[in-house]
Amino acid sequence: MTDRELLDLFHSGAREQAFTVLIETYQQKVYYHIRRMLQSHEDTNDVMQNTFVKVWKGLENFRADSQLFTWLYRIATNEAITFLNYRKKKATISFDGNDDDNDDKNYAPSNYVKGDSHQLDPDDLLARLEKAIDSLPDKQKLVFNLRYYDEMPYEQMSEVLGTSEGALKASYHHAATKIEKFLLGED
Amino acid sequence: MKNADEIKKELKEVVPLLATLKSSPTIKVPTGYFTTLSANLIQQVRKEDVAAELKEMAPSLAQLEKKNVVEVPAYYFSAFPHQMMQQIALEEKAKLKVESPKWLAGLNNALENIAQVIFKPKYSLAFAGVASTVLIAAFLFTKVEQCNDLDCKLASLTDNEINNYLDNETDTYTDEIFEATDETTTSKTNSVQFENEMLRDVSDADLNNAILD
Repeated sequence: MTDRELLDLFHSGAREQAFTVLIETYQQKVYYHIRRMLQSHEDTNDVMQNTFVKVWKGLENFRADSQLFTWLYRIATNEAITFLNYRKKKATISFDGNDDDNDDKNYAPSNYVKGDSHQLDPDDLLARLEKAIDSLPDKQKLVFNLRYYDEMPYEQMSEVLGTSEGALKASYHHAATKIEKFLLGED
Repeated sequence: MKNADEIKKELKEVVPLLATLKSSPTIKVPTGYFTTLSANLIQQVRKEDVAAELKEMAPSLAQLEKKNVVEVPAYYFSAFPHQMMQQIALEEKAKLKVESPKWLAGLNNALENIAQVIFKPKYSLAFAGVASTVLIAAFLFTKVEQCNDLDCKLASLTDNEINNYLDNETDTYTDEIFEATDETTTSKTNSVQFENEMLRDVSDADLNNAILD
């Protein structure tokens, strides 16, 4: 079912049926997008529910100026960022101002052989990749995930994040370079 | 079209048997293949763009196989739509509750508060007492209201009550009758005297005229 058909079904009165189709269609993409930002399944599930409740409330007035998928991603991203900020605030209160929201996080030192990733265990490399991504500042992490995993064009990403394409390209470049250095142990 | 005709003619001349076979395509395409083809191609092109870009920025990273290392609980995605619809139903219910008129909400609250007080153990006995009193009073009042005319009152008296009354209260009763009779008699006498006085100064001729008119 196309987005247009789905919206027509929703406006024809079969709201719940249309919404179920929408969830079934997009839940996995939205889930992984949120999960990559929040890490924990429980947190992701909470944000998933908030996201889809907002989608349900807003679908009536969605006029398809942008793609349904882009709109969904935007809501999910905002919800995830709100959650991250909330979590940080809580952590700041708990640990007396140890807010780690800065652009230059320290990566864990690398013990891997420089320049030859072929000799490394693929599972270890993946684990290191996860660690490297997690060490990125939130905005860079978000841009990197959208580009690397979701293969989202910058144009669409710009709609989702409300940032210029140029800034997004720069952000992705920074993120990819940092991760590369991390994997090669050059940081 | 001309070319097609020529091809058919040529085929008929060269391989007559083949020319008799139906020319409709026998190749089967999976359902929905052409509907999703453009989207799939775009997806593929994007994938290649992203890979090429990454190869320039981070060659080692580009060599890594993309794998989802995230673990999702079993059946999460099959259960999520149902879980979500339940959540939506609760949201809708809450919305309806908020949208109900203020006075109705106020009345509900008041009734809930009253019920909470009444059904507290220390108040329930008192409430039962008050309720019983009110019910008994209402019953008696209704009965009195139903029997307030003379016939009804007399009918409700027993023979003994009437006999007792007549035996004990005869004097009062007789006096009342006499007083009533006296009043009637006096009233009649006064009326005759009044007429005589009024007609005393009227001549017989005037009386005759008045009667004839």
